Amino acid sequence: MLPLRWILCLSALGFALPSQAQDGKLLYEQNCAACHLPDQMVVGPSLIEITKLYQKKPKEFLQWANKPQKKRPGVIDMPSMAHLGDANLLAIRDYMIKASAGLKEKPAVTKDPFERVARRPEVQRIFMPDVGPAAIAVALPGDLSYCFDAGDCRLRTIWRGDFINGWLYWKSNGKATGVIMGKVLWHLPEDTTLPAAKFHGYELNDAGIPTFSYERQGAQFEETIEPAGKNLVRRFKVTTAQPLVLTIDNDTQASAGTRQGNKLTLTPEQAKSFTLTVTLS
Amino acid sequence: MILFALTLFAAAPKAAPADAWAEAMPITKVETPAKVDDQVGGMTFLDDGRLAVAFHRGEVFIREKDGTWNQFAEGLHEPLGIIQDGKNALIVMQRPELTRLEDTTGKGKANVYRTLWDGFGMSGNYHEFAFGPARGPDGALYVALNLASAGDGVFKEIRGTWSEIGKANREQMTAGKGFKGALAGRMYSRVPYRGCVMRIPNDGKGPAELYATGFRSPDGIGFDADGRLMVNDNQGDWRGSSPLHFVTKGSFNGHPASLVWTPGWNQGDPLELPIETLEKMRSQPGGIFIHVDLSNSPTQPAVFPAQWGPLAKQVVFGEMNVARLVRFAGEEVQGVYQGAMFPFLDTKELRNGNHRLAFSPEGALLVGKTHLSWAGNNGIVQINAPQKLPLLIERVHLLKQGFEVHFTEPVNGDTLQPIVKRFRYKYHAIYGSPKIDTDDLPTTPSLSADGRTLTLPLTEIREGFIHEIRFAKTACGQDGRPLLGPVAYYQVVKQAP
Repeated sequence: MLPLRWILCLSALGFALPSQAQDGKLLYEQNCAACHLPDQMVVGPSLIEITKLYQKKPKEFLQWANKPQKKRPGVIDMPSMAHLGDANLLAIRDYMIKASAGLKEKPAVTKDPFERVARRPEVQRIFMPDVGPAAIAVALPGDLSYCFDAGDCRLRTIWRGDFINGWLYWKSNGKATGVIMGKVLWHLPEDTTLPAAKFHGYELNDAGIPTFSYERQGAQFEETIEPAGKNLVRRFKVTTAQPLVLTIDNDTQASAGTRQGNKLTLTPEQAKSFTLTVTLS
Repeated sequence: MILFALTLFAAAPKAAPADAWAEAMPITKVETPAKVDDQVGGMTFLDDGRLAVAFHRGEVFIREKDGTWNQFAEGLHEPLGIIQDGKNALIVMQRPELTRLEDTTGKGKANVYRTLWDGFGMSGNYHEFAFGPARGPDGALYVALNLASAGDGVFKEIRGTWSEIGKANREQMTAGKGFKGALAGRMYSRVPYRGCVMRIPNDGKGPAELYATGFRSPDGIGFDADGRLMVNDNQGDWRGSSPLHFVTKGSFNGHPASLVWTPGWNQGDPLELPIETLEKMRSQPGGIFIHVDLSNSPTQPAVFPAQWGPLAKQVVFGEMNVARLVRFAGEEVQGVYQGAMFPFLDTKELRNGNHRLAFSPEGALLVGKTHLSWAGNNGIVQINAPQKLPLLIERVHLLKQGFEVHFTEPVNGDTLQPIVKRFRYKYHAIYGSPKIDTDDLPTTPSLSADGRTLTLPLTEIREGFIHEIRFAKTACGQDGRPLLGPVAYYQVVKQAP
């Protein structure tokens, strides 16, 4: 009877019972559940998979938990759990095995539960492929979309088809880019020689089409990008005291200015209002 | 013997029921807009009492008084904070910039998305979140920039000037097969101001200035009732347990990576500096969210309004991993602001993912949730200011030799059974820290005649230690109501004079 009395006394006083390792379930909830679900891969593998790997390998489990390494491509590295101590880590392992018993692995969610009805125009800032990290994707009326880079303040990519699928980005913590849902027709690579630009934002017109504001080398730009038949037209209003010199590619025609090869020069007066038309296939 | 055991059991005071918090402060769900991924990045009440919320995929909605939602803006890149700026405008911090959203046409929808400040670097690393803004009493906006994580590399194309300081070069830091994460440092700062708090004066018009360094993942920035800038950070490398910093201009707050952005920095790779050097440079946190016991991942602070009675002007924080909030009550000691943390709304009914907090004009606390694929949740819940608060520890006051614990109502002294301990955490590059240098501190408590103040004399108070004051789970008031959240963690930065 003596042990029972002691247990009652201790619990009445609100003490935890002494033991070497703490409660595995509690430890799991406090230290692991942020990234590991019982039956589904989220940030890290499920408890079902962990059980498969380590059910008969406690030593390897401890090795991993104390010093995790890069193992799965595209998955965030696990931080070391060495601070918990081996006894607690083994208690967590026991709990993981128990908690996953009889469960069936759920497939990772692959379809966007919040898929939106396509509408045009639409503006969406998100990481985009092959441009800088401050990207703005825009769907235009019709079937053209583009990506404007708010870092270097340039139109960077044009595609035809559907807009973007942001699910890979949105379902995670930012470790993916949006996917272009069409055929890329035009793209500018990074240009490290370009003078720095300052982005000032954009304004939507009544139709919802953005006009971007930015400045480069003292010139103030306003640029509106719209469809023109199967092509795309960039309407500029630039305030500048100096002649404006732009580099344009072979697919681009200017409404004003003097062109020499890929160099377009506009007087301050011409710069006030001009267009660049990008011919698309 | 059996009889004896039963008698003892019956005589023991009853512990608070598991859902005592939820009974004292019922939690109700707030409907969110249909077909929206309702992970909350920013939430604020407007002057007219309407609620503005920024969601994960870049939508901003305004909730009218009748509960209907109207969309105000869309297409933002991971907005993580929102404030009002005049009649028809909001300011949001999104991943790439601080942006002012204004409706200039009177249609109830923003048509102008004006960039207030984007003068910070983006490497493209997923962990480079941008938090804030918090509006200071000086009219400036303050934002906090997350470090990048060695969980991944950087984009080929970045925004901002690359810092060459670090073991890995830019090629080795670029995401993909060549990424040498092991050389990166657990969290890193290779583009400007990652890990810093920035001040953007004149309501965000600028010019921006570097305000403080030393942060890791500061998903909580705000001002307290007296205008002190609070920034809380997340446990990890150089963060033994999540700290709450009261941030002053020019301060270094512990995580070394961002030191490279200190004007005139000439001491090389800060990760290579001796710990003693960093220890001397760093400001101590005024409070610590005890890992596991209180919070693994603290979020936005909010100041209790007058409707919360004795808690008014104290601060409540969200917590991501556990179904719980954290309350802080501070005091100034020898010119340093420090104080005690307590569990708050510690009930499973709250659920986890508690990310953004806002008090309504009526004093209701709204909690917006998120997960971003980590532990967490989605949606918004509401907790009205209770008619009568449960019995709580109101605050803890540091004495020269001991502590004074103030309760919100008279307590039954026989039920308290206080146990006092102290411990601290390691300051090191390793992720997290065990509690170290733990000591039990004997004390002979005495309760004031009105039953509201308990004095705990101690022979010694140590600076740099958390002092834990724990009461029995069965502690109760003189009216028999249970003491909820019966533990306080006081971070002693300075001893009382």
